[in-house]
Amino acid sequence: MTDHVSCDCSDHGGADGASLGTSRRDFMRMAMAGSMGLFAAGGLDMALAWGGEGTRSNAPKGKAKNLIVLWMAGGPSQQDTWDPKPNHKNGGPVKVIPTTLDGVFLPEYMPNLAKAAGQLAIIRSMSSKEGNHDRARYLLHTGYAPGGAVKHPSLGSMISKELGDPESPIPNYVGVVGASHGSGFLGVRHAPLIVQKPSQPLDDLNPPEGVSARRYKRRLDLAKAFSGQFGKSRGDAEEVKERTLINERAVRLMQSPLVKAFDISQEKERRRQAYGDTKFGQGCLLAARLVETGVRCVEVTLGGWDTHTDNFNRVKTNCETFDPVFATLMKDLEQRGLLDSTLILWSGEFGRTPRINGNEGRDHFPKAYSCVLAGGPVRTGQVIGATAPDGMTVAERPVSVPDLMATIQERMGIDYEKVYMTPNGRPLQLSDKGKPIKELVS
Amino acid sequence: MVTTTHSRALTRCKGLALLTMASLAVLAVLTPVSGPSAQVFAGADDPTPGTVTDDLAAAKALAARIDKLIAARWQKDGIEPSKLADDYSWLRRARIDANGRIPEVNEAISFAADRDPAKRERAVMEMVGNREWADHWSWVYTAAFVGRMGGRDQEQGKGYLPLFLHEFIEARLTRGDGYDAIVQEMLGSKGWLDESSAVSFYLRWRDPVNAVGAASRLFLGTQIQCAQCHDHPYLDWTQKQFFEMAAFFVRLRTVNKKLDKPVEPSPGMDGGGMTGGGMGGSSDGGMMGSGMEGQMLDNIRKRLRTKRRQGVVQRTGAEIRIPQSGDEATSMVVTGGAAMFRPDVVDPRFITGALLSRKLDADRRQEFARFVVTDGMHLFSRAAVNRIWKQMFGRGIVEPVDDLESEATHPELLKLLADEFAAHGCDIRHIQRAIMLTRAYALSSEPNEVNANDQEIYARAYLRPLAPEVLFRSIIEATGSDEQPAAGKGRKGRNRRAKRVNPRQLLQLLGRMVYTFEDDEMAEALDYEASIPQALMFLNGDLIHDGAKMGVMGLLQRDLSAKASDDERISHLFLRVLSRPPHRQELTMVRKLLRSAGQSDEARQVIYEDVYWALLNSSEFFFNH
Repeated sequence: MTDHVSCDCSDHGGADGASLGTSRRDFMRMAMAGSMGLFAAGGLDMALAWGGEGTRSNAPKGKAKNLIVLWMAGGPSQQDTWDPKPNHKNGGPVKVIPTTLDGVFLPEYMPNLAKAAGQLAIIRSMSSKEGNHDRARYLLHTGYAPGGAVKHPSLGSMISKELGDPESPIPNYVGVVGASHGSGFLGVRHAPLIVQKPSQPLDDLNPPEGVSARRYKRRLDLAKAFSGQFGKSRGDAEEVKERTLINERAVRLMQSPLVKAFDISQEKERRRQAYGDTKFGQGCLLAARLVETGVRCVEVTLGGWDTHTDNFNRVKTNCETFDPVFATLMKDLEQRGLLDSTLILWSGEFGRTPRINGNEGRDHFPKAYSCVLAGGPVRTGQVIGATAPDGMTVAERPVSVPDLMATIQERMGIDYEKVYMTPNGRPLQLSDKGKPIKELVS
Repeated sequence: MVTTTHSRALTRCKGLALLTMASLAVLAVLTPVSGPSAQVFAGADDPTPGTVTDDLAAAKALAARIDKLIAARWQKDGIEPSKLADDYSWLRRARIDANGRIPEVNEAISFAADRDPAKRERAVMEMVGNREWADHWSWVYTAAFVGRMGGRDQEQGKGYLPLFLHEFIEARLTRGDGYDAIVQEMLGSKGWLDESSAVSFYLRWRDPVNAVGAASRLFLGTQIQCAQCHDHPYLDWTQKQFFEMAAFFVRLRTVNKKLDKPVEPSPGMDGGGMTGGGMGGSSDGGMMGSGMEGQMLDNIRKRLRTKRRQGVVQRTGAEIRIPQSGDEATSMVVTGGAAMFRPDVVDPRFITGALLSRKLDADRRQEFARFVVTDGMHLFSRAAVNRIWKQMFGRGIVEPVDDLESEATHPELLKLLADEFAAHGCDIRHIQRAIMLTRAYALSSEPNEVNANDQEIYARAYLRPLAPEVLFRSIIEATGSDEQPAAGKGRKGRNRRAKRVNPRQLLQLLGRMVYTFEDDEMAEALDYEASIPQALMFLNGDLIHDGAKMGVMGLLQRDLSAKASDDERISHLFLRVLSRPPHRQELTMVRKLLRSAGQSDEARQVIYEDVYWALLNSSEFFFNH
């Protein structure tokens, strides 16, 4: 971070935002937030005082404490969501509607987000080289392409490590629906807790029937003693330690009153209805509840985006699922005073081919696609970058996945240039040479 | 080679993968088949009895050569190997690797007591090749080939594809087929799923691009799919080569046909299309004597023949071309009578350079299958032995297991095993027996002062988390919850044992250990590593709690006489769960607890239950070590 303190970045026209990094204003805001515990108001005041640009109501407000990832598994079509091409044959049959942002249009089946566009930062110029689900999912979660012996930690695990309360009885990283990328070399302490059914409370939270607290403790003590001897004789093997640790964490979770955050049936009817009864809606309600409880990163998956066939109907259905929920999530967090400290990322592993294939489908396309950031800590109400009229290339302001990672890390007050030491002694920067997107962070 | 690190980490998760939900119930029913007791280690259960002595001699000779290469590396690195594992540890490891479960309690006792210096050899010959072996290793391969969930394809798969593939592989392994014959038959398969179980492989991978990627990765150890969109960044693969390989699969077409009225199976094809083997699901009353898997597959077959039939057919005349802009994946397939004359169409050319003429009527997949086990044998055999090695040591000579371009830790060893494999009719049993007879395999997992950090030279046995189905079978074995309580020691047949297994619990276990990614390929993420939902299930769920209860009942009423001492009981309990007697400290700890409970039978039973529960929840139980 300190590398950038002397850098004057009042110039937004700089050709390479990457070189600018963190501005003095950011530094000051961080100092303020850190020393005074101020987030929302403090950040805005400082922006006003230093640059005058904070007069825009959408200016970033302090640093984020939380990240909610809306994970669009399978690779969502950018031209049928955030980057419609109504005047080009690659755009397909999608009709668009105006949004609250001048000159920005979204598909007609995204009315709620069209209205809430002022709260979004739409990045239309994402670009990567990974067009395979596994590899791209790995890249989008870790900021690194898979390879070599290093098992990279996911962003959620880094957040857990950097910002999470190590003593928290509930994990700092939760994945809702489907698998998420794990903690890599950061170990089980920072691994995501996967919740497969958001509508139900966690299973097996109570000791078996008829087992008293005293007996339960005896069981745990015995198991620990047996495991301890085994672990010791195996050279204090990491695998054994992790298993013991996870048992301890499971027991702490059981005993914590915070665990009820996982049970959305305890939520008020009105709030539940606002999120709707889709699995994704329930997952987002769960995410909001968890963030309120102190979980630092929640990822909610919406699948069904791998639209090699029947793209237009399937994308429309998916949009009708996430559009109202995403808008509700922002509104709900705002009402609870959490939006300023919560960053929301909407992304899949890649986009889809601008040209429509023979099955009314679109195939994998990492070269030029979209993702969205929302939440108080980024400058919203803008579109970053652009694709060519046919959608085949990025025409303006390419953004790499490491840049996106660095942006999120920077917005969360994590030093994206920080270096971790991997278990085999290799230094590894948190972000793979990424630089924050300056238009978003200042 | 080997500068590349392309595509490593994830292929590993893919290679593991679990059972389909539909298959879980079945697995639960068939899983805990008791092996013969230790006294009858004689290969009696070997489905292809014959030259047992020759097989043993060949395996021992290979074992010695393996050990020489492994020891050379120890010497070179100046690392002292761990001491040898004792009989208990060795037997547990061997049973898990060969048969997918921990040893029976009596087997553990008698094996340790057996004075015969050749007892390990006898054990290896009995375990490798018996029916449990065929079942377990069929799951190992099924999981690797199609995943345990079998992909998502909601209309086609319904999660039962792995069941069919397991049926096919198990029948072939039981018949004694070589791995080459099995793979060749599978890659060349076509027809209806209800008549030809092997097509489940293609119903999983469906299109030419996925199929060529899977086949190259699994059977040639080659990550050719990376070259689909661009020339490989590090290796020699060009995009053209990818399409030349894909040209073998371009005529693959999976069908899902709605039926107006039920169809009759073709004559002689009623049992999974195993025309050669006669091991069809319904023909012999099902696998493993339980009849359940056969029955279940029969039901699925009936449904397939009544409502929607699935299968693999030829798409005659289809050809493939390299998409010009790299963005039109489906337009790469061209059809029509003139397709083969188009100038931009790519010829089917195997990875080794062998070219197939563009004949309209050629079954290119069969040609590909033939190439794999002939021209491609050097790759095929390496990929095969590397997978076996990884399964038995916890890491491959090459990692990831299906990427032979990566650096081998022991190149000569890989070559030795591959050559032996090819020379022995691609008999996986030969390689497994040899491995199990090595000194390297027999080392303790307890490190010494110098080898604790060893991760690749096999100077100690590595800890390996149990795969979900192995864990499940082992819990059943440890708790005796598949046994008739109070039925004495006599085994009343597998059906009766099997009925006591609760499939719901296996489902639950797999649900907590296997997660699937939500894309159309439904790749599987395997979290063998501990997780909180898993931990909660073991700590609080009924699988372990009820198992411990049942185990104690068996312990007190069936396994030991009423006159047995506490020490005998404690010891028996450890042997049942951990396959070894207790250490002195452990014995003291449990004795103390029993004393504190007083004389009441009830209170003492509670202590036994808690000890049982704790052993099942101890790290030692969760690892193959």
